[in-house]
Amino acid sequence: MSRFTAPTQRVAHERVEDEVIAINLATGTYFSLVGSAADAWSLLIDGADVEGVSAALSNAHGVDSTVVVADVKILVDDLIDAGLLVQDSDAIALHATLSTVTSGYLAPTLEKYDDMEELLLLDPIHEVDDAGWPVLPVEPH
Amino acid sequence: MTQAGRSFRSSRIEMTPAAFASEVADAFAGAVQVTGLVQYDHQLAGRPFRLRFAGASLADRLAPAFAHLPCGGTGNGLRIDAWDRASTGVPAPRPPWGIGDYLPRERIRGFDDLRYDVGNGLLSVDRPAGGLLHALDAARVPRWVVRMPFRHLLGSWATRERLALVHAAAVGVDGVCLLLPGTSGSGKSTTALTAAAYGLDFLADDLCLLDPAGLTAYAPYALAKLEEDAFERLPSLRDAVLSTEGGQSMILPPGLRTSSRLVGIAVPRVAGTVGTTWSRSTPREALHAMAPSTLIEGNGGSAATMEFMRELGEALPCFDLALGTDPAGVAENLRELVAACI
Repeated sequence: MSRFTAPTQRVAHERVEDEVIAINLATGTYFSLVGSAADAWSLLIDGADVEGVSAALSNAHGVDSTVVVADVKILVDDLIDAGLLVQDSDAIALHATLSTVTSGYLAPTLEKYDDMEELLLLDPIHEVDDAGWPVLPVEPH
Repeated sequence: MTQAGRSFRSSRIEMTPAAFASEVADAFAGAVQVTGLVQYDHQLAGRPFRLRFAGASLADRLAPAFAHLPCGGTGNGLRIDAWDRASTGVPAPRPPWGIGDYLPRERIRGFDDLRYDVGNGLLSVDRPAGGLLHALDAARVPRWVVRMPFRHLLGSWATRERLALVHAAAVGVDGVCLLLPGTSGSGKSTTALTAAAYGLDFLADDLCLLDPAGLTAYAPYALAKLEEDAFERLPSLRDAVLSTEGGQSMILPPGLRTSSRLVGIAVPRVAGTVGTTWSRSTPREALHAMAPSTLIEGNGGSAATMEFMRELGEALPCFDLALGTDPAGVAENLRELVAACI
């Protein structure tokens, strides 16, 4: 099965304790993965595929593997939609293991923080000047 | 395609970012031919930092932010060349991209090392040979840019130099300091100026330059801002006001220090109480306060910057700082925090 990578030019991510903070530098949005989601992320970044991640989580927590596979597939879809992961079909999945296990299994989810969303707003460009650059808005009097 | 009688490209023409950057550099040279060169040689984080302006108009606006930096420095370092069209008559070269290529956060599709501030007409071009900035009109450069010029260029240079330009204030005592990270409105600027008013060292109220090698914090800018209503609580800062506009004053903070040893991280938040309190927190909370605002607000950080911020949170004691309304209490708690870290 294929593995996944986080595009290094576009995604910054760090794990602290049982949480991963991931930032899509291109879109300016940031995300949090906690507990099982952080573990799943760490396994994916280490080269595991969906089955490998699911097996590791299932074994660690004693949870039915079919449930975990379904949960992990949803998470991976969300990560791809968020631009945090890309599928690398040519790369062979690696066997990855959890170095530490977070307490209790909860369906891994991606939490989006949108409190900086106003930064994503673009001033509308109405016209450009003779040199080809957007005309500055009229100063208020 | 025309709009309001002027033409613009609806689609881009082929030009590499490097070729466009070269054209921008040529335009700067042309502007210098018109108005002459104004040059400042500083040191920033121990590296040479040369500022070159075409004429005095933009220099008078942007150079004061760096007046606190040590003079001199030779060898390879950061060089930034800047000019404005209004005073020199020299425009930036015609953009090769189309009008649909302007993206949020001042980005331009296909030109990763450029930023264009549409609302203020500011073009920044980052390149290893030196940064470039073009303003449409020096007189219309907004006050936040006057206070903190070249953010994108400084941030990108810092990343290349294995430094980090972090969205944080920094204050200290006797050469050791605390980092106060947070988003806009978290209280870090007012906290930093409160510290300055009560005799603590001031390094930064919004952007701080960090060197992970020695855990050293540097003050990249000399200027800070204060809202008019804050003078009621901090009357001594009236003597530090350089100018006031729209209810906001530009300040040359007392106790400004160019560098300091970093000993802790305190994440400020407005508590809505009179008294200020602090408690230990976690590297996780420190990273939440530092990383998104630093990387998203466009200071040129990278994955390496985030790794550094994570390491910083793990290496230093982290605190929650619940800010009260009594300024003396804020300053007293900051002194306590510094003492707790050393």
